[in-house]
Amino acid sequence: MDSIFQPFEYLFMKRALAGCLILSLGSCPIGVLLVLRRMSLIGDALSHAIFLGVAGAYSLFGLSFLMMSVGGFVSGVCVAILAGVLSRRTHMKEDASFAAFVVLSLALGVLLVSLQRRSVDLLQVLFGSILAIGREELLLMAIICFITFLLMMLFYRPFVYECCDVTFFGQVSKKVGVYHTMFLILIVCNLIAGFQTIGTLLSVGLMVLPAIIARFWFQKLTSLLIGSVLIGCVSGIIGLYAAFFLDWPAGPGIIIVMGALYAISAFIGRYGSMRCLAKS
Amino acid sequence: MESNIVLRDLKVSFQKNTVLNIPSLSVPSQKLVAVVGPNGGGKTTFLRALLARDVRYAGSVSCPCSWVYMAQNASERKDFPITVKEYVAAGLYKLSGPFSQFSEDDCAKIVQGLEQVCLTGYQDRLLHQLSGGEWQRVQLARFLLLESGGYLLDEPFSAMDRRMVHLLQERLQNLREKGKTIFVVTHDLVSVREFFDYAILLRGDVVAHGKPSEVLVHQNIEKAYG
Repeated sequence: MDSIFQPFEYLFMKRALAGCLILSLGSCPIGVLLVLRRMSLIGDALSHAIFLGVAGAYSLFGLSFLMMSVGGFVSGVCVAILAGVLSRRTHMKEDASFAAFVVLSLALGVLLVSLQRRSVDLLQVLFGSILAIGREELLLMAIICFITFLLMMLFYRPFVYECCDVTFFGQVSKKVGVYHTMFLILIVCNLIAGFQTIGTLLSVGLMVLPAIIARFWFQKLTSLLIGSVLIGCVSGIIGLYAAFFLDWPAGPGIIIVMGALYAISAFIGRYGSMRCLAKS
Repeated sequence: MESNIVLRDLKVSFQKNTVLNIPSLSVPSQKLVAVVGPNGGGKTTFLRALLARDVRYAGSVSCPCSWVYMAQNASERKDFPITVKEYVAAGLYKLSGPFSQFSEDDCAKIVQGLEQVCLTGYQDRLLHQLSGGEWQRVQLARFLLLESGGYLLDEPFSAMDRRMVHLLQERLQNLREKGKTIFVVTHDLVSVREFFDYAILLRGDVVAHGKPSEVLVHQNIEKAYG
């Protein structure tokens, strides 16, 4: 029995756990709206943009957490704005414009980091090091997630309506663009919060996967939002156990746990799973 | 306070194809107007011209009222995980704003709006549980909660049975009694004769316009659809 709590006697595990729980609170609800907007790929593109910014800051300033966060934020927001402009000014849909961008920024980012000739760092930027997060990182994550949570609660109605039917919402509100931009910036901020923990590229998984899993179990938006947070927390805890006992890298471990939950849900979930479709 | 909706030199082209060309047209406001014509005749384009949102439109449109628009097959987001009530409540957004809670008055409006489209008791259903016709009526309920001088509806009844269409057209007549201008794109020529005050027959240009009984004569229909 003692061995269940044993991992969390260590300070680094306590911090890792706190990081996971905090991150789930902010990222997962954002992920639900992202998936409902069918914008999962935009999330992916943004995470790559952030990777490029983080890599750029790293090559300029070295392994400084603060500068890397700022770099990631700047490049992320730039791409978010570019996304909006491109989809409004051209006939191309947002996702099409981004398919090329994703690989390009990944290539450029990897190039920037490898020029420093320390490949260990590259792994850390790509996949995070949740077991090494310090107080500052935890504080930044807490602030971002708290603000995200607060804004989601405050602007719940416009966020939902904008997500559900932009054309109609445009007829009743003049601030559609404001809410859309705000939402994109929130995505960027939460990806930044996740980058130290599970890496720039995987942090989008923490956003999107719990949301997709929740779709198999819940039908109402409110249940989806709460459910996705719970799924995020549970997979975080299981992933940390795997990291501790099996010596897995924690970030990928958490995502793999979510992957397993996704596979199980796709088979036996309550709504729209293979089991349901076989019955009908 | 009746004045006309006047269109002048309206010309809409998509990549050199002229879709709609109306040198001059005047339509009385505060009427229930049917926009009819064959597929590709420019009906939707005509409504969008009234909305005056698209830059590809040349010409001038003057309307005595502002418009709200319900698109054809509006929002295919029938899988969105909210209830009918939450969905219809979007129609009250201008009044409620982003924060304030819905008052009892607002809730009554939503219930009433649903009654209007014969969906009493549907408040708590989820959108994906609705049939095609019910879904269209829910959208109509949301649309009619909007406060506006003019309403543009693009094939709002395409998934409904005849009895329901008649009932809803009577609702639109009630709306007209309150001084609203309503344009409806429809393919149901029989009910245009029965329910509408005015008809515009389009085939790239205006084939005829005026009282339905005068517009929908054999000669015009031959010209538009033949």
